[in-house]
Amino acid sequence: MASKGNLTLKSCNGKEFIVEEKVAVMSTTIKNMVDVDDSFAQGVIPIIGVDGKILAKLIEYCKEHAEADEDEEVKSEEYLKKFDEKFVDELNLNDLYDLLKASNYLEITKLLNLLCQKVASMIKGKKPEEIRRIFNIKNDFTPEEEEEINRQNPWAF
Amino acid sequence: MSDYIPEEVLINILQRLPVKPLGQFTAVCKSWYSLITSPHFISTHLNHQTLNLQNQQTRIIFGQYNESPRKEHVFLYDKEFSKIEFPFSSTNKCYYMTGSINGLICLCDNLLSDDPISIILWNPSIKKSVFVPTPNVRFSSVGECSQSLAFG
Repeated sequence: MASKGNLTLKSCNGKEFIVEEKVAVMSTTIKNMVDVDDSFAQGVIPIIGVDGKILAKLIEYCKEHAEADEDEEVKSEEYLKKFDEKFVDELNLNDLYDLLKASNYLEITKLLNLLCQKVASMIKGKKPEEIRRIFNIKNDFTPEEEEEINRQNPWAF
Repeated sequence: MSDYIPEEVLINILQRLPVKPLGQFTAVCKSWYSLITSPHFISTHLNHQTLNLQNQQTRIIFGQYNESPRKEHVFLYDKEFSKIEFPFSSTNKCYYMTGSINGLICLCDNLLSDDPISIILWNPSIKKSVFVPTPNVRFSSVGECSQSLAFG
């Protein structure tokens, strides 16, 4: 049981994390749960579809940002920028994907935007076939349709 | 990555990209094609790009007309000068830019006489254009009047 001011979050594979409420409510989804029903704040909040490894990463991010929001002097904007850069640079493709989904589901907007920017920079110069490989997408165009698209936008290719 | 990314997340990613890669990514698969070419995505992309601080610097587009050889050139000033491919050639003298909004430019090659007139809406980023039907009201039909064209 978490003490007052703390919340217990439980990952889908049963790992429990006790975090300060200000850290947990960086997630709008968790904030809404706690606001609507006080019993969530007392008990364990299950985080569906997010495993312990990803939940730990989410908490690491939220902790830094919640502390920075509270006291700008301790963690400057520049410090946070460096933290964000390092945070996304260390992610492999699978973690990046899992974090994208988790931050979308938990509505951690700042983190979601950071991750989306990372993916955007990553795919910017890639060819369509490389994009298919990264996102595991099947090419469902016929060769004729593909040719037609290339013909429509010759400037892009 | 797995094959399922929620559409709102994909929109969040793609809205951050310039027009050129987006043009390429229409060839990824059918769902990407319909997403990127949808009016909803196009306006989301425009909003994101115009709100983005880095894109708030002034951009100036201007034309230059050479008498001999007769040729029009268009340049973009965006920190530095670059030449834009200008795919039109006026049967009159040259095209005038009558206005622009959201990256669309309205061109017109004849405002003041009764000679044939072309009015074009041009999107230089995706190199697409449409010829706008020309108005019936001209000097000859209504007598002397002042005529103007506005776009924006």
